[in-house]
Amino acid sequence: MFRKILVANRGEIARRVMYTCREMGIATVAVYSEADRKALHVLKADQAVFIGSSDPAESYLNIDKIIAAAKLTGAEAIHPGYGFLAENPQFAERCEQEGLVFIGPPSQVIRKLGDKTVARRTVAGSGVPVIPGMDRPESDPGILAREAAKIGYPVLIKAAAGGGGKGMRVVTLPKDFDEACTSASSEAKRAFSDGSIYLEKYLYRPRHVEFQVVADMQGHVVHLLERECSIQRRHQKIIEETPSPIMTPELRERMGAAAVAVARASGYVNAGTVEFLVDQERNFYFLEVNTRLQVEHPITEMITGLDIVRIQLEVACGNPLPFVQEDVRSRGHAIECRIYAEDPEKGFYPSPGRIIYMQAPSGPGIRNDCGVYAGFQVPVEYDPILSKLIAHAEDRNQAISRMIQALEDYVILGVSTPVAFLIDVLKSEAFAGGDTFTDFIDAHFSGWKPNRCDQDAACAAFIIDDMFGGSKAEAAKGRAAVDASPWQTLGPWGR
Amino acid sequence: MQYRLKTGEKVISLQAEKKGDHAITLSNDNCHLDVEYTVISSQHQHLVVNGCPVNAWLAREGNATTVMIRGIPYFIQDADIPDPRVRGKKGLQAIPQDVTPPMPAVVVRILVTVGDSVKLGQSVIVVESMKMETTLSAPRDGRVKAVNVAAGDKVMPGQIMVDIDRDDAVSAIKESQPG
Repeated sequence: MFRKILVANRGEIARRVMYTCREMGIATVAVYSEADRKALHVLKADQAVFIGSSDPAESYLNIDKIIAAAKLTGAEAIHPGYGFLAENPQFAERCEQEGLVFIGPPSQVIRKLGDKTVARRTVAGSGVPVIPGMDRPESDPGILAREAAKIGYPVLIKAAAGGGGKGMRVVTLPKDFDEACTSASSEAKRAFSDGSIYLEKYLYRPRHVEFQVVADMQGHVVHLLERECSIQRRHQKIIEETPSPIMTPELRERMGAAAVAVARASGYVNAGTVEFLVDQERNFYFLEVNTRLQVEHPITEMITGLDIVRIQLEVACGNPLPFVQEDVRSRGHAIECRIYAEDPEKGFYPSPGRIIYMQAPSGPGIRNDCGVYAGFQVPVEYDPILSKLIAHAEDRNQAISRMIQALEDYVILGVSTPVAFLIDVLKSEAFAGGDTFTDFIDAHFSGWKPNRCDQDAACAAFIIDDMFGGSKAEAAKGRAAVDASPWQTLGPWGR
Repeated sequence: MQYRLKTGEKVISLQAEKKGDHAITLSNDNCHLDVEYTVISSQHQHLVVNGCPVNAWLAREGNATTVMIRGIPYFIQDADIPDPRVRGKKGLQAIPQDVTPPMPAVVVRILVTVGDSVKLGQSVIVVESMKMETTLSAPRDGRVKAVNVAAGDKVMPGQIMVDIDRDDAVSAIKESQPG
């Protein structure tokens, strides 16, 4: 096993990877930018290397600087997390050339699957159904407009190098097409350093169901069941669960086999996710492969009892998978809610800022993968994800109740979060009924505002604070007690 | 003590009276609240309001306080001391009068130059925050008088990035803040 690895990421996912490394006795190296000098992943690593200014291109997306940091610290392998360089084939290739192990699939596999159009061609060859659309990226607006007309509106513009909804636009009317292409391409260029886009037919009310796969260098491929990820805003998932409410043993069997077939067809190694859209008749279509550790991997870990990061590390070392398909068993139901710094009352606009106070929920079956702390300034430069709250219980209803309770206990002050929104979604009949389609939020929660039923208590709190409260006492004592420092909140650490 | 509190669009008047060491009553013509309280910290109070226990979490920003109860934020301020910087009270639907970012952001592209004539709703500048691009449009028909920012600049809400003169207006040009 590796003695030391570098984690080329930030926030909650960098911490997530470091947890498993610690358990396995592997030393960790963090990298950080100017905006992240006080970030939690830096404070929690065994070593940290400053790699540049806050602009991602100068730091977390800068291959030379990350390779240099790995060399400097003697790291043997690099875990890319998700986002940033995780699905960048040049980065994986560079690691290979420099004698560093890239913890993910080989560069040629990332290249093949990372370009969504090449992936579509690869998968179509293996007999798995794909969504109608273009098989090559295009930059000429005239050709794109002709293709859009051929596919038929509404069309979906997608970044060839995409993921996480970046560079994705739905276009219903031809007159909006050109501007949407320009803006999608520009967003893609900034997110992935590659502005190429292509088009797919926009499916009406699909569900988004994905399968976790793991594959070793010996050619074994196993799937770790599905995740239902239909609840999205701006094409980005916000609630995920497993099992999917629509899944039947027969459909799981067929989709699992298709996911394994996709992995085999591409020569896949390490952990990956095969995404499908499922239509109203439960036909499924291949969407894309995410060649990385997925944001929502914890729900799979909860129901299978497996540690996917540990599997990634073992496989990257050349060890075979320690189990076969028949060994994979699931227990109970798991739900993940993504806690972003954003304001659900204002169209989910980003809400960067300083976290004034924070208290995470706990309790039976609750997991909180968190990358921030009270006092941390959430930067404008990066993804707005603060943490992921995961609830695991015996069945779906229990998991929903458990999640609602945990969300009600989740206190984050200073930046807006979707906590109140998530509570209402989980309490809704539509969610309880498993009516989870990708248009769920627009269909059921358009123009949402919280039901502010504790107005009286809130006024009472304001008045008590004014009359005798904390505000006066603390003002007298200075601000020391207000800002818990990371040293207070981290608990015992260091080695 | 008499309080006039603004929460959301509403103004609520309440008479507060101390009752013993850890209790107050709040009342007006419509309601009467018996409130027992324990101040846990400057951020946290435990209340029993008419018999119902509640944990309330507080964050003060200027004259306004955000009170978080059961995951829901309540924005409360003293109605007699208006604070223009309070966030959360203005709805998204309010039509902006200036080209200013809705949140802290970085300028990505500027789509107009000084002297351009623009139409209401025309895209003038693109900003990005937390990897999400937002296109801001002209709040009125007019002419671009000044562009106060450059691509790559960090900008804050309230900062006017592009000055647009009303075609007919001769005055009422807002002073731009330093970029």
